[in-house]
Amino acid sequence: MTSIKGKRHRISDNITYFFIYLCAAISVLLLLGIIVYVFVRGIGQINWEFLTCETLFLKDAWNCRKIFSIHWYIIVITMIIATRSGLSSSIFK
Amino acid sequence: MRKKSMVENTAKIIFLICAIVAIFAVISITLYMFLKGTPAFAKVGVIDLLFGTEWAPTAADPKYGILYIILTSIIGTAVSILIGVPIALLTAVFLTEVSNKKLSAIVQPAVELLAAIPSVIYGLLGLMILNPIMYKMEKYFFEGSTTHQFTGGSNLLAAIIVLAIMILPTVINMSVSAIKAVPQQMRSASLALGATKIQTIFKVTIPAAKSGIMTGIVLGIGRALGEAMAINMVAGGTVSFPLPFNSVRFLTTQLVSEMGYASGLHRQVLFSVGLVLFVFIMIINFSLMKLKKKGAVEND
Repeated sequence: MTSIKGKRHRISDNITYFFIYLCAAISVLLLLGIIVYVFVRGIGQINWEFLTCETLFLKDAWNCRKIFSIHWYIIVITMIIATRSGLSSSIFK
Repeated sequence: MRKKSMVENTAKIIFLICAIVAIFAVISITLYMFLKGTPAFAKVGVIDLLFGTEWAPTAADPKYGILYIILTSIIGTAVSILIGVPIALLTAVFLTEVSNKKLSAIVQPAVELLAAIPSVIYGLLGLMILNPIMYKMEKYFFEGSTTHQFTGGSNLLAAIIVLAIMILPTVINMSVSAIKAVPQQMRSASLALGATKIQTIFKVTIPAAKSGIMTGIVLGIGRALGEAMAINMVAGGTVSFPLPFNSVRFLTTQLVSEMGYASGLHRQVLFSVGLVLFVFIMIINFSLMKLKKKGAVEND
């Protein structure tokens, strides 16, 4: 006599559970791996001298202060144009 | 009173102009691509261009066959979808149905973070981690081969793996929201009929969330097809038949690597390559629109 309280375990269900856990683990570990790898390889190189461009060869002509600031200029100007026209056209819609 | 209506009208006109700018951008890009891309078809010949297998633009007798490039893009995208989608779908199932709320609350933002990583970072990691592994595998598989062109690890397989990782977050996020939108009653009814949880997930929940999941997959295809930077770094750059260990060139990387110095007919052919890519992306987008419409009808 089998009781309705007893659960019948399906092997196929367990296999599927295994694959679900496996895939979730793959996704999460990939992410963690990427972040950890980038930090471990990169964090040692970043210090005050790197950020203030003391060690760059072409210090005067085309230094990375310029590169950083141009990067920001581009982002800010793009945002000014894109948000304006994007927002207004969505209002129009 | 008069002043107010003037303000209203002015605002309306400004908004109209902004909307026209957006539409104008789309139309002008399309027109430009077709105008620049079609002359080469006439000069080289449609069949020679699309189905030619030899790419030698700077030779004395130049050949402009882009069949291998098109095939690489199609095969690369298809295989990366085949690898990426099952992993993404099962991760979405894990996040919504299997794991407890606390774990999902940690994992899901993390997956969304994966979407925010710039593609050049994926390329960099592929270059640093995947390519050396590929090179070892290549040396192992083709040890005595005399016909194989060694690539140093930059090959189609590396590009496929990078693409598969890149489409993960897109497909996961879309699938998670699609599965979450399935009404709870459907699951309850299935469980009440005696189905196990797994049966409920795969026979009830996923079929009900089908159109949302398909949307995610199509978005993933679009992302994989249009990706240039990451695969440019890992896929090598020789035009050759898309075998796993061949150094290959995609439609996108073809443009990236030759646009800088091309001139004359070579340049026009590159625009034709761009046009082919553009048409592919348009097909993807139109099928996406169809899917969304279908999904909206199903939900009503």
